[in-house]
Amino acid sequence: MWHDIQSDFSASIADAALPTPHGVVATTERFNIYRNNVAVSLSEALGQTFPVVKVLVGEEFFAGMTQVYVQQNKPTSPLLMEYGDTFSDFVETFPPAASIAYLADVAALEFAWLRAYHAADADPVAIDVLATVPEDTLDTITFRMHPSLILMSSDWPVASIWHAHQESAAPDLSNLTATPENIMIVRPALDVKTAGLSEASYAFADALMTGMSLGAACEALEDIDGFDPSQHLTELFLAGAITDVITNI
Amino acid sequence: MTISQTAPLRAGASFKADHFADILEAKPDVGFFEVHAENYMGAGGPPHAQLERLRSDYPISVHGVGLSIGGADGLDTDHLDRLKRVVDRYRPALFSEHLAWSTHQGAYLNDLLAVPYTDETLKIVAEHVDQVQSHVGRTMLLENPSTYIKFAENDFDEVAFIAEVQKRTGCGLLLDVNNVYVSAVNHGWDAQDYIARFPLDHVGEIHVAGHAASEDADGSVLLIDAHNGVASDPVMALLTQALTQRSDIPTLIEWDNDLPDWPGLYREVDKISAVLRGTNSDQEITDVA
Repeated sequence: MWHDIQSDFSASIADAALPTPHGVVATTERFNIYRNNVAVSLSEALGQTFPVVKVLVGEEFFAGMTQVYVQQNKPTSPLLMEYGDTFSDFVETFPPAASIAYLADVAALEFAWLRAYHAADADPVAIDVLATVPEDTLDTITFRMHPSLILMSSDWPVASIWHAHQESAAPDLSNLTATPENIMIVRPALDVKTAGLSEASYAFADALMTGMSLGAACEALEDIDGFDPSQHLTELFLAGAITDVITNI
Repeated sequence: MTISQTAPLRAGASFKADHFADILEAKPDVGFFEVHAENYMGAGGPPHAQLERLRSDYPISVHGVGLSIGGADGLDTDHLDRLKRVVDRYRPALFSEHLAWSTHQGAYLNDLLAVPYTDETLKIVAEHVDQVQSHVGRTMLLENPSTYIKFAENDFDEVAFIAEVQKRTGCGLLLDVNNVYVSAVNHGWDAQDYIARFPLDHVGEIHVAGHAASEDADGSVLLIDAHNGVASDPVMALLTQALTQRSDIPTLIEWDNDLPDWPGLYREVDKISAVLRGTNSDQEITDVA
């Protein structure tokens, strides 16, 4: 039956040690064309999604690492823009990559960038919209955040590393200090923007994203060093991260 | 004939984002642009903005590469929904998919894998083509594959199989003359005879592409459908043969790897235009888009 031949075929593609599948008449050279097409095209797809990871480890290492990933993680849909959602977790536990401690977080940032790139479109609103909110209801307002908005925090300066690679093909990373970074990724129009956020600003954005009202967020976060809600709000509006303000009375 | 009536009888090109700025600026005389459906299945962002813009100047062909029509498992209905959304949004002049499989038991293999030509697979493929056409709400073109292996059991040769699927489903066909040549060399078929027997009346589009060469165990040539260069002379000869038999078929240069710059790709569009002009010399070619 065709279903059974396909099962054999799939297994032989995944494992070059297996013979040519039952029901197929071909030399190993012929069957290897399919094995090669599948392995190489998926590895190349990961290379397009994770270009900075590829530069950080070098082409040869990347090819070897993605080969293992592809072996263990076949795409579950024909949308290659979704392939690699578990790559950061894989990198985290891939022993040969352990010497680059920040590699997994760079992978997470690159995948977040791609999600923002393909996210739904929406028009941000300007901060002037707050002027239309009656002052006595200001505490109750909640915010509709842009569909592309992603917040990420890392123990490493991954946004700085990522930015350095946008400026140069082989940037000098020796001046980077091992400081944690909070990152906001958003695509208000056609360009994906990444920006660093302070601890307080990150906590505020995160609170608004979870649907907390302005008043509740201010109350919950007031003890954080450098907490300044009007400054944080301005930052979010300017980044295009807010698409609507909702008055809840 | 039930295939789309809005595709111009002219030469088209694969659309690649790398060429977008050049195309906008040069406004080249291209009959249509073809895109891979899967690249426009995200919710939003630059891909859609580009395609909306391109579509305002050129007819579009939507070419699916991930539906796995030849697979024994049922079609992925989520993917079918996504395909319908792309077709509904861009209302393409042409809409096509492959006689191949790529998904089995939930795993997507990202290649167009060969299907045996048996009574069993004929039933599967015809049902799937029916399902696509009724779900998406329009006629699809089914493309002949390039293959590297044979199956032990076959009840049909490839042309007879494709002709039977067409007859059962009323679908249109996409004749890829590079695939014909690649498979003919790989399996020792007669490519000219293949074209001569192909049901050209139902062909709504032709593909032309480049291939690469490899070697079989005995040192003989194996061709690989690489879409990485200009079409070879034998492939252009097959195009001329097909267009001499039936001259009014939109024809695309397909190029996916080792991309040239836009002028380089446009030169290939020009070559196909010249073949189309040659075989249409006795009639006016009009852009009906």
